[in-house]
Amino acid sequence: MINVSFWNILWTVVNLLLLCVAFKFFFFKRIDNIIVKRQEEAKEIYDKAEEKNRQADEYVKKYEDKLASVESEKKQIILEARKTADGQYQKIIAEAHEDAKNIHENAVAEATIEKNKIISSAKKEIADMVVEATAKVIGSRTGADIDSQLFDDFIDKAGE
Amino acid sequence: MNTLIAIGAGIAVVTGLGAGIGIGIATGKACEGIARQPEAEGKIQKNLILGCALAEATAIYGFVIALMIIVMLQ
Amino acid sequence: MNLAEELIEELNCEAVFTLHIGSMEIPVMESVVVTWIVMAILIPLAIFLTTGLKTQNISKKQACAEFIYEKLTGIVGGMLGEEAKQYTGYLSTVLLYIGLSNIIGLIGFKSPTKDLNVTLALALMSIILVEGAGIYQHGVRKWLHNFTEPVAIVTPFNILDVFTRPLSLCMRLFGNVLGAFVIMELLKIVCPPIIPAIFSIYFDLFDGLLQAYVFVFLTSLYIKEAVE
Repeated sequence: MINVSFWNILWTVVNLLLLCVAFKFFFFKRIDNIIVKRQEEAKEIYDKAEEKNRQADEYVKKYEDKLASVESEKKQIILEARKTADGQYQKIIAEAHEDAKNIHENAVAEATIEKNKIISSAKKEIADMVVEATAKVIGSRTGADIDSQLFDDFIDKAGE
Repeated sequence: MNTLIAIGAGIAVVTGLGAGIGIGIATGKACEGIARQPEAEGKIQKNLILGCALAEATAIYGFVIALMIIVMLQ
Repeated sequence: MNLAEELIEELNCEAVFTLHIGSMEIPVMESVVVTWIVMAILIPLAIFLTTGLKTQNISKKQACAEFIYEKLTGIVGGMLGEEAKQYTGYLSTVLLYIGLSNIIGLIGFKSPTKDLNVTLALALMSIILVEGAGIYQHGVRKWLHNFTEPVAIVTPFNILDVFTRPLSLCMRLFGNVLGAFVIMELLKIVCPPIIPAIFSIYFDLFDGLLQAYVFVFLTSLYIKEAVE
């Protein structure tokens, strides 16, 4: 037990190195490999998931953008519609005003023409009456009588 | 001769004294530590066992020497 | 005197057989044979545990293998630290070998670690590994220079360390196993069978595994110190 023997030490060293190499190849390396492989697989899956996640985020963003643009478009459209409606309204009102004005003017013009017509016809009548009266007077009487008669007639006729 | 060998072996084993004192002190301190910080019990215990194994080595040296004296001088 | 002779008979390591290669005679000691038995247990076990490994849906066998792997590399790698990670494989093997050698006495074999030559070989390999790690990490100049650290006057002690460290490792392991064995033998002779069985749990199982751990712990401590 206490005597040191060279061969025994050598045997032990050889045995130990053998055991060490065997363990390295059959135990540590194998499990190391499998762990590395598993990690790679996990990483792959993780990467895939990450990619999917990113895509989903992208889609969400896209749709949100779209939604926002739709909203703004809607607002725009409404705004435009309102604007056009406003314009239309203004136009209609303006047209109506115009029409009203035209009608009014026409009416005034017509009334004036009518009045002028009436006046002119009245003048004509008066002139006719004067002529008639004059003829009557001239036909029936002479002198002052005629004059006064004529005058009275004229007055009568005008008073009618 | 045998008596002298026995005396020599006995003296060699006196190294156990140091190991005993050392392990005693270490254990006492460990108990203090656990009393102060009960949550660190696991760590303290581990270090205590390791320290004891190391401190015990001196006693083991004495024992080996005593055995060598007996076996080799006989 | 009968007891002492019996004890010495148990302690002595006989040559089981002798190999003749040319004119050389190579004796094969009992401890070497038991080492082969230990190897014959460990290597097939390792191969059995690591055949048919899969990455998913692992079997119980593989879970067990991976658990052992994690524990071993966790313990040894934790002691070695980041810089000396590449020595984990060797030290784990040494841990398994010493552990199994120490407790193989329970099933009737003579522990190889009870033979001084085996522990001496282990200690020599440890110190070669420690100094080799130092040279590999720093180069020869820096390694030589490290002997004068922290001050020049401690150089002789540092050089002495190279010899006392393996001696201390060797004697610690050998003495512990031998001491446990002698005490167990005395107990077996003095007491009826129940008390030795209880003490056997401490001396053979606990102390054996603890000494394996201490051996690896100290070696990794030296390596850690050497590569810093």
